[in-house]
Amino acid sequence: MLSYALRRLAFALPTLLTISVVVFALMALAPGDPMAQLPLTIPAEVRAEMRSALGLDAPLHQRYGMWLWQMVVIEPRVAIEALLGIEGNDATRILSWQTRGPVFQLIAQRLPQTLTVLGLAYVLGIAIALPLGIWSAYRHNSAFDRVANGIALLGVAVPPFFSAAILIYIFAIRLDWVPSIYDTTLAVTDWSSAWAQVRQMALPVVVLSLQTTAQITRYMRAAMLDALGQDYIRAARAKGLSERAVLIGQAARNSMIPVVSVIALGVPQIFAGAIITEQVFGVNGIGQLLITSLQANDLPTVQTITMLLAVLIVLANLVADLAYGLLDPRVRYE
Amino acid sequence: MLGLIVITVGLGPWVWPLPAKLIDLGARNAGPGWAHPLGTDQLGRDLLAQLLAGGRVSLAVAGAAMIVSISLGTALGVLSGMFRWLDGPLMRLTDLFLALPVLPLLLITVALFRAPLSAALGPETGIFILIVLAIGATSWMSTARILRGEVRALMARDFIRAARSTGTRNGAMITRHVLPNIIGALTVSATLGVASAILMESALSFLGLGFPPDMATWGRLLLDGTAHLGNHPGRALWPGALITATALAVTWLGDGYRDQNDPRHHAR
Repeated sequence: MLSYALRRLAFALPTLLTISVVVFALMALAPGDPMAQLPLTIPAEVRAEMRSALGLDAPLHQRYGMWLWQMVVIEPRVAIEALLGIEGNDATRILSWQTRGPVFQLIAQRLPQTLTVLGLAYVLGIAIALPLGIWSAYRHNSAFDRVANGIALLGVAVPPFFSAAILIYIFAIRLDWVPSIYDTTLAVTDWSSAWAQVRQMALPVVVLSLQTTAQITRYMRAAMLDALGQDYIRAARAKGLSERAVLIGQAARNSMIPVVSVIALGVPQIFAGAIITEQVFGVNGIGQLLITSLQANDLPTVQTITMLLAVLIVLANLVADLAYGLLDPRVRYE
Repeated sequence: MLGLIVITVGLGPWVWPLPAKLIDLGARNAGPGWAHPLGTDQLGRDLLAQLLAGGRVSLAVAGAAMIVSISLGTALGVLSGMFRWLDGPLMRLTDLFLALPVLPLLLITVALFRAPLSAALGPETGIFILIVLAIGATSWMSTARILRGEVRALMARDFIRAARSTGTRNGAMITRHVLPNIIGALTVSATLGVASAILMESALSFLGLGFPPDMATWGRLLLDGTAHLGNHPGRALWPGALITATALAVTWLGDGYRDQNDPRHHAR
């Protein structure tokens, strides 16, 4: 198992390094100029000074090396020192061109909103999808199965920006049950503000979990169908196990193996979905930060967020591989 | 249903002759009526005409992006399936692309390259090419993987060995023996590619990073409509429904085709 894990890890690092080169090169070589939006009345020498203040006059490989060094060494060190309460480190962190503050500080401000909405949506989606998939495979081709399958297909095909529009129209405008805009300044202090928080989270969470539910239900159902056709199920039934024990203990347990990796791989996808959902509902999370800094041409922030998403994808792949190896010993000896 | 959408959108100007960009300030925010079957927007542009024009752009983008991604995917899949020494590097490349955060990268590419390209080629062609290339370049991976598997299975078959023994060259081998035998898998991933390209393009437009505002696509119309959801829900619901219906129809087409060609599905 250890050598399997190490092999997977050994592949992840060069992947990340290459992605960082791609992300950096795409932005550094793009023909846009971060100075383009400044007034034309600024004299050329001031402009050059501003460029060097942003670190734009250094050669490309130097800028890339600096960025990588900041990402890998300086930022983690700052984080650890902040945790331990050590002060007085003045290493150059990655600075946002827009706010002139450290990018990771921005991200730390935005992350809680994204994580509460996303985390809740993902947990909810999984909690609904697993029983739904198991039951519709057990009752294959029944009315329940058909309805569940149809809804799952719809959930995959309806883009989040449209399901969000429909839900806003029905629940926020027509029924007026929930607000259509997320208010991040709301602090949960008592029962009424807690209820307001639940209400404003309802729509974004439903939109995000709809996709998760749809996807995982389909995988779970397919895996269960495969498992239920196996001989060991017949053996378990012949042995006299109750249907419940057969379904949960035998079939579901075995079909969870591929589904666990699907769940792990879905995490980065839901972050990408959050970019759109946050834009619709005005949640000021990571996705909105990405869009606003993109519009403001704030390259360090954009680079860093994109890179973090790439790290997330690679990590999710790694977790999926490791979980697969842990759950299914056959995979380890490839 | 797909046929209906494609034909209606394709014949747009004949079905509904009003030009999409015609601004009729006298008929702003009009409800559905005889003059404007689906109403008008805040500048008095006819929604039906805009939907038809936007559909042409959306479908053209999806089709062109699909062709780009299928060509790339086929090339890589066939090459790595046929030649052992290419297999390792090409599959590592595929893994690498699979690990890229696609939506952020698309947003970045479009945001950074749109100004120079539209200056060079005109705003509409420039952005069209940019979006098609960007979507195509980030969506070929699954095609490549599927085709690689198909080709590898094919290479072990007797008729390939027979063809090789009669001295068939690689080029002829690909066009005469390999491609005709993987056309089924190719069609399935092409249809699924169209569906995902439609969704991707509308997501880009929805985030305001697609075509310019006066060149309405379905995603752009949905974005504009969402702001007026309270008073004029139809403006957001119609384009959204069209996006969904098209994506669903294309997916069903692909699924149905696969079920027909996959013997494992018949057995069940």
